[in-house]
Amino acid sequence: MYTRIVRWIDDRLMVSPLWRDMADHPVPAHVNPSEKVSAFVYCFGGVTFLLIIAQFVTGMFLAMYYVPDIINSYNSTKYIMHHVLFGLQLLSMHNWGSSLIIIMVTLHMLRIYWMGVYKKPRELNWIVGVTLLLLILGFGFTGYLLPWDEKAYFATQVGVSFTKYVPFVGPALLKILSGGSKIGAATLTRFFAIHVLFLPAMLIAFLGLHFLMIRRQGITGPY
Amino acid sequence: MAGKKPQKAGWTRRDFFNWMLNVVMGVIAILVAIPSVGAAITPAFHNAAPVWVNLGAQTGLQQSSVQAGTGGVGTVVKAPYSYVEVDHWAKLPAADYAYLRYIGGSCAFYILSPICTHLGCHVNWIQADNQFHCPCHGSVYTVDGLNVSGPAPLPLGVFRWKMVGNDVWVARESTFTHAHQRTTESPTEPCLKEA
Ligand code: HEM
Ligand code: FES
Repeated sequence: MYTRIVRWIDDRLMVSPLWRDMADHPVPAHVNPSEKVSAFVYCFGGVTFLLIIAQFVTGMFLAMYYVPDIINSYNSTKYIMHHVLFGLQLLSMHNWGSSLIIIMVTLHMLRIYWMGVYKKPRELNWIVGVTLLLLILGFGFTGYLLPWDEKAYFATQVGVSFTKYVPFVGPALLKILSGGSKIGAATLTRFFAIHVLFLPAMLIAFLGLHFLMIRRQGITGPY
Repeated sequence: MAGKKPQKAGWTRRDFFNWMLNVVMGVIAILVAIPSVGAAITPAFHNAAPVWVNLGAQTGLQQSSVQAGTGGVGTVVKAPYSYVEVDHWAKLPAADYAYLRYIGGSCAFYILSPICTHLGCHVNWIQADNQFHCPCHGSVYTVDGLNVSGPAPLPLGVFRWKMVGNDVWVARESTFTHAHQRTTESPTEPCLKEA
């Protein structure tokens, strides 16, 4: 049955070679933790990617209940925690996952740094990587406001205030980032839009670039 | 070659359509970008008018400031207020407070914003030290709101205020500190009483 379906699709689109190219791509021994345990450092990027997939999934389901509005967001978050089946677990996975991603991406970046593999010819991938890091931090910053509790409110107040110190355009930037002259209704909708629409779109694009470059250049080593 | 002119190397029909395509795509990109960017940066051009809020009866405020102080000299007291906040499309009951001190004379009240000029936390009034302390990163302000220690770059904001009947009203502005922001560390207390 399975082979027949695959053959039916391949007759029309020939996707098997694309899949085989990824699935049969050999993992070099020096990158394979089952050959050499210390190679686990090469997994940090992949683990980050897996966690990102988990964030996408849990986030999509949270959005079935969450309302990005100053009157309802706190209550809808509480509703998820107390009345949705496994809602607390869903929210906790998204919450803990965000911290784990930041830890893993930092470890990944440290591996890149310590092994010095940002050097030629991988400078562009380092730049894409730094962009990914900023996007990940952007997710954390915008997501933190969404429950609209006191901690979220004041943490965001402190966070957006940094932009005040940008020369010349600081005050305008502060207003643009917070959607008005204070943290309020427009900040929440703005942060929500950034968190669930703008950042995911950019993250997918830059992850694509990151992986294309890795495939193109191959993994570094062994040394 | 029969009857057909050789293609010119310079500006071909294909080049022309390529160019047209680029122009059309560019125009579409600009048309999409204008309202998008406009919507995103609207807040930068919007200045909210001040909201006048009622702190309560003048006599009560004066009494509580004098009672909290010693020897008939008023000191800083919390003056809470509530108001209806119009936040874009949302109208919500809201509450905050000002730090009020009775200073006598023609100015009568000196009303400070509780918003730390570092990153916006509410500062605490510490009567024993005669100072304001910020719980977030330790900025310290004198009783007049002058920043004397910690990361705070500016003195506390001062509320413009006025009498309406027997009540004291302050202007909640849309600035960072909700109040008039002093940009120098002038030791004199500005009198921001309005007629
Ligand atoms: C969203 C976060 C990121 C994900 C999901 C990700 C994913 C990956 C994966 C799966 C690899 C294959 C090798 C490995 O896992 O170590 C890799 C390699 C690489 N990453 Fe990332 N990465 C991310 C962020 C970053 C950051 C922040 C940097 C540096 C600023 C970076 C720079 C690089 C470079 C230069 C390579 C090539 C390493 C080599 O050839 O040895 N990446 N990335
Ligand atoms: S916000 Fe007051 S010291 Fe930082």
